[in-house]
Amino acid sequence: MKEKQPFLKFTFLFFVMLTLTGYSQDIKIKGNVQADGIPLPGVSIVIKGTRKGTTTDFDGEYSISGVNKGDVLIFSYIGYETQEATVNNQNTINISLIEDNSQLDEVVVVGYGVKRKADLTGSVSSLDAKAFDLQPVTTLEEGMQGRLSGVQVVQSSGQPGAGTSIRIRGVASLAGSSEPLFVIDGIPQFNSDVREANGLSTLDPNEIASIEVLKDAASTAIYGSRAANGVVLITTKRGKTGEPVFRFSSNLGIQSVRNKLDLMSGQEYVDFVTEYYDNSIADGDLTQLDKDQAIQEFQNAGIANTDWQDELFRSAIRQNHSISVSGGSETSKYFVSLSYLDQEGAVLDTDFNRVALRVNLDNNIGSRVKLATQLSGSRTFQNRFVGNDGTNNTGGGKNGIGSILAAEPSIAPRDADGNLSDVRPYSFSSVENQNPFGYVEATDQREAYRFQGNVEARIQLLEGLTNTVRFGATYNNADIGVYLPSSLLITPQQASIQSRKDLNLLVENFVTYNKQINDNINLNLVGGVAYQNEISDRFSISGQGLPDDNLTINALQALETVSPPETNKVEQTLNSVFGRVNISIKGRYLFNASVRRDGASQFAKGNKHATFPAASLGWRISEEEFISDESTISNLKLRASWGQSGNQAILPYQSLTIGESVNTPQGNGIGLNSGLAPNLPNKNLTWETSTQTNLGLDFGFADQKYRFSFDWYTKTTEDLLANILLPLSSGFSSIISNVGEIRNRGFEITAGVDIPVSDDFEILVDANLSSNKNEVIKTNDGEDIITGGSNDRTGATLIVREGESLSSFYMIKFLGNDENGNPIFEDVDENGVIDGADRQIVGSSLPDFVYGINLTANYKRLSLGMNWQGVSGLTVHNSRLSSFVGANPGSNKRSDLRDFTPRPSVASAIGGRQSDRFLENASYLRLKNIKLNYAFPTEKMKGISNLNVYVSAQNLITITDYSGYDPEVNSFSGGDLRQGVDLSSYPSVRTLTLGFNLTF
Amino acid sequence: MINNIKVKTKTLLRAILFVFVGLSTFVSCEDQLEEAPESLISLESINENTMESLILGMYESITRERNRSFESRYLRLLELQAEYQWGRGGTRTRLSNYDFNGASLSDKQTMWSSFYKSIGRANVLISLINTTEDLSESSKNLGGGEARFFRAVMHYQLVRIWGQVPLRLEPVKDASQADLALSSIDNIYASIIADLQFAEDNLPATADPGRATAGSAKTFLADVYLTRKEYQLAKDKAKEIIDNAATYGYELVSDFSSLFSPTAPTNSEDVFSIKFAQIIGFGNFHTDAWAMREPRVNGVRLGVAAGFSTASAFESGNANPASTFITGWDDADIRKQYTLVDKVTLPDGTEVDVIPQVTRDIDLDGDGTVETERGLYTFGKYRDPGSPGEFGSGNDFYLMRYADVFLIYAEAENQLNGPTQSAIDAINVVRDRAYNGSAPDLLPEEIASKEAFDDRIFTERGYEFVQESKRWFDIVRTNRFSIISDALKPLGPNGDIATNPYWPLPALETSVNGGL
Repeated sequence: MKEKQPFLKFTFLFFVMLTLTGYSQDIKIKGNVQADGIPLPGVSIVIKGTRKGTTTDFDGEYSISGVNKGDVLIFSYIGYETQEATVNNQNTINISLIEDNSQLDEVVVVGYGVKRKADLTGSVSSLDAKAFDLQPVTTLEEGMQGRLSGVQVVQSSGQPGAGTSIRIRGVASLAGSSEPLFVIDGIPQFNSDVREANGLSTLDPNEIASIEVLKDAASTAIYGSRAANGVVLITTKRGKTGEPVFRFSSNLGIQSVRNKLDLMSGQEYVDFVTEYYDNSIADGDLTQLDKDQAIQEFQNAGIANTDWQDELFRSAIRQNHSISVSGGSETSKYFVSLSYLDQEGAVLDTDFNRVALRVNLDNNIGSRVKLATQLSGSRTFQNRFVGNDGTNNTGGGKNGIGSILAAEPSIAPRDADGNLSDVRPYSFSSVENQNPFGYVEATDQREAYRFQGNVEARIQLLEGLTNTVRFGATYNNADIGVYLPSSLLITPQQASIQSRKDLNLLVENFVTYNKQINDNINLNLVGGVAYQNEISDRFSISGQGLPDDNLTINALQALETVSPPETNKVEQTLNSVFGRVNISIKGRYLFNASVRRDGASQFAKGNKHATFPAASLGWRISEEEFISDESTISNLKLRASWGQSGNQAILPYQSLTIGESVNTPQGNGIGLNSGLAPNLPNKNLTWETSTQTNLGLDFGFADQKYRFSFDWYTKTTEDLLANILLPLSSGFSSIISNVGEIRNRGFEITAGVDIPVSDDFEILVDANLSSNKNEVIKTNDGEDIITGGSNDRTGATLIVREGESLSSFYMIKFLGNDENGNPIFEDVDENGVIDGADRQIVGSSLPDFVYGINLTANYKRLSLGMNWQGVSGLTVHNSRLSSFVGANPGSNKRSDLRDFTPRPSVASAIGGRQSDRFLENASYLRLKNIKLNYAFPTEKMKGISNLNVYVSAQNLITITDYSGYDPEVNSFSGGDLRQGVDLSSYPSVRTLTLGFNLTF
Repeated sequence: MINNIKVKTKTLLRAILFVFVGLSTFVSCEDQLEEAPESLISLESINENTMESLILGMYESITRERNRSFESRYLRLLELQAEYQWGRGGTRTRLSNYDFNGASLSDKQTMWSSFYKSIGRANVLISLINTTEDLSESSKNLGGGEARFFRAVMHYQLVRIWGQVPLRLEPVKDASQADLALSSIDNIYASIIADLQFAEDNLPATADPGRATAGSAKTFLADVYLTRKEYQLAKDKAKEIIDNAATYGYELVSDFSSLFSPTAPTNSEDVFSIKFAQIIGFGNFHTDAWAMREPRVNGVRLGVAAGFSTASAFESGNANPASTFITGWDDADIRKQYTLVDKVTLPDGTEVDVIPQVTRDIDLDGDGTVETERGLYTFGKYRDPGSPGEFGSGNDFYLMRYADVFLIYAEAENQLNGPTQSAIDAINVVRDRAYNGSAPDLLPEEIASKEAFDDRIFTERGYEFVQESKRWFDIVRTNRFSIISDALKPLGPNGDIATNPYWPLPALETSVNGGL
């Protein structure tokens, strides 16, 4: 019953609303105001010579009463030419405003409303659908990369459908998450839904109308406890009044691995192994017996020359099609789209495909109620190469890509009978080596269904006063199935299925009041309440021993042994009250204040509620009288903001005294018994709070042909949620607590220029640069937090230490090789032993700069677009490098091994231990996308309004010193402290695309 | 106009009411924020059922994969410190050379961690039993007995491996209670003995496989007394068990190899063992850890052909050819035939020699020059040809079996009264089983004196318990460090292990525990 409460309440509220039906009024004029067919909200309408007036609502609609025949209505809106209309006998006056200049008057979505860019006092980056047209992207995140200042987008690997992490203004959490809050059409998404389930990959970029990124606290505080890492607002396309418009777009791409690694050939490998034994015998570390055995084993197995990368990589096809139709009447509009993406991976047996359907409707119910409905559903299916999406923490040869890199080149992939060959034919072969074709035969698939439906009713209660009721539900179901076939040596014939279901419900009610108090003062108020709840169910089962590999995960009843299935149900709830005031005086002095109070279930009793206030000021100097209208300055604005937001991204139930179900064979001997493991609750658990100050300057001249924007911010996060270490003898390894403080401080610059070379040739340039400095101000009692090292096989550790940046690598330092070719490491404590005590901070995976440059050149009907994107000043741990250049035989090596290890031997093998020599500068500059588009003249094509044909390339140029597959890599998920680690990740691809867009 | 204003006011009031209703219905529901987990059990208080579950949860931390204690590391690390073992590679080589500092930190740390995790769970259980009034007195004693037994057994491991350690007798309820100083070895043993005495008085005589009984507690008590050189107490306790063997169902099994069956739930000799199941993640790694690493012979993996394991082959160690324990072992001893492996029969019937993978440069023949020597045997006490994969072997791991009791009795009696007939009878019970029911008589010189017979008992314990991780504790307990150098093994790079035979405390303990 408890779960049904929101429905009941919603129903109740709905009836309350229906009682608020019409009331009598005097003579009245109504209509709508638009520009280029787009409704304009907030347009001021005044009866000339009086103070009587109103403003348009969210949909550009207005009504004004007490009007007499002959009165003149003045429609004014900053950035648009003011218009007058005389009232005659008509009841409806529709007005189309003409733009004064561009850009400044674009409307951007902010939380619970929209705002003109010119009126923004906080820091918001936005992208509209045009940005997605510039490149044939398959995911939303790809389209965001390099285009938004202060936003870093990192793909975990090159695998189709791979996850992405997004960082807005740095990282500021330890045990919580550093991912922003995603809000899709007004529905805040629970973090686990978006990131863990990779929910954004289910959206087709063609459905997106705009993306707004709220960065400073004044913008984000309205989302309160989930907004500390920034907020990404995603708005989907809607129908416009008019005849149906069909849009069909289609593209076909061919992808190939961007760069192969230069590894040893079969003979080079044999020579290397021989040299290793010779050197080691000379040193007295190995014996002739050992070498004879190795040589004998080479001879027994026969020496092949296999390039395992060539064996497993391929040219892969990507196709993407979408069709949409939109249109409607004054009272009823629609947008319907259907899309299909099918992307093969550049590694055999990997792919990703997606079918997405969306229906967005707008209906007027009577004159006072507008209903906006969004329904979407999608299915995604991903074939992975076993353990390469960054969530798997095994490295070495025990995953797909790792097995390709580890397989010794002297071994043929198949034996004479065509069976997969033994990839451990030598006694020195690493026991982790697996035949990569075993992973090709393996199953590792992820199938996800996602449905989102939300209905929003906007009821006009009074002039300028609107009540909005929003009801939303998101259902997500993802199944991961893995089967390892009998051709794999470790844990063969093992099958597992993991299933998750998440249901997320939202009920919101808020009131918007817009009032032109007099000629000078405009007031906008928002106030409301929200309830959101998510129930997640997990189910997993695994077992071993199938009679036939072909059954994979489809007949688990045939398994010989099955581990106990696990189910887990988790629920979390958030209750909120929020409000906001906007005051604009003379269009010059802007004031904005907001507050949100949230209550979250996952915090301890007594600590469940917190309040997040914010305020901001703006001064549009360019509107001052001392700046003459003739001035070339089209925009000059100073902004200042301060505010607080929170982070609550921790697992529920951590403040309760509970026991978790566990299994043990004890008390049984053959099967299993179930027991309870008591936890260590934290009865004081509460939010992380971020306090952010933002100062900004916007400057533009010559009708915004030249524009520049600068933001400086400092953001301090306190009460960090962190797992603090306990002595192991306490019986627990850590306890989640609120400790410590992190500061992110930085600046963002965006600049743009439009160069009209001639009437039919123009060049548009937009560039952005962001810099963030992260510093850990305080940890628990000044203690370091060290993560990583053993289980993930990287051997790398990361440290959280006061005064240093988060994600600092903590490793021993390699000083060079001695005259015998043996490595020397820095012995920090000078005790003659190189061990964990000699580790030091040797780099950070957080970049100094993130930047992007977007160039568009339009010549007649041709346009050329380029998207350059880069990061600099960061290091990535190329963990595979340690076995590529370590002297131990057993897995394949890089051809240039001797540059690292001049004399391979037992003694020099220690050079392969993880140290800072495997940290690499991962700065890069990349031509992410280049596109040449031709727009056909459609005047003579009947029924066709637009036809564009283009050719494009992605990842054509990458300038980097990183020696792994790709510098843009992150093998651990966003919630992990181990960032910037490359665990044999899936290679990145270069794509050539041919495509067209057709509108009719 | 006035009318207009009135309407507006009225509507405004309605609007305010509307917002108010919305606010109150959504936000006043504070109970929506109360957490009520459906997949977890509240432990604010307990009943008989949750008590039983908590007992099993206490065992869970030492039986599960990846805690890496009894399913792999306890055996690998401690057994390699026997003088008859040569470790293969990395940390295994260093441990078998007594380089306690050089050996991997994480290996030892995870053992420490899982022992203390069990102790922590035992303490939570004891505390809940004490604070829950609804439990019957007999339940309290039963649950308390098992928790105290388990806490004592874990502290017994800790004190023998690390020496002075924190003695945890109270549950940690928040971070401020987590620091704790080291206790003296005497105090730790006093607590172990008190816990075991409570357990022997309150536990039942028999129980499900792997659950503690009064017999388990008494056997551990006898072993602890022997370690403390309380020979009279050790002898009396051992005799009490032998005299009441029927009560506890104890009897030596006649077929030695059946003791290590991967499928039998238990047997009459099982006093207390860690149970493993043939389910990945709930089985042991011993089979893989000790299987022959040698690559395929005639296309067949030796570890598979020998029935050791089905998945991996790590060959953690070989028999030291310089150890007289190994070279002097009678071929007729069934235990040797079962445990030491140097030949494997392939499926096609051909018998091949195993090539042990460890080689060392030692002066085996004593001629003053060092030569490369190969290990003599691979160890084969744990075999599971039916294992589903790594960490999936079903063989149990004994901490105490009934043979212990006879050897404890023999040793204690000899220490008190010399090689008496009852001491000889006790050792022969164990020896007879190793010779199909009738062992050859002990040689006269073996029973010529208390010292000679003590040596003989030490050797017999080795034969009986090889690969059961008792040798190192026996060496330390009886101060027999000389056999290590006799077996041409170095006594560690950092000085005399005889004066400090303990592993250094794990770094995560020393760096975080403010009480140290």
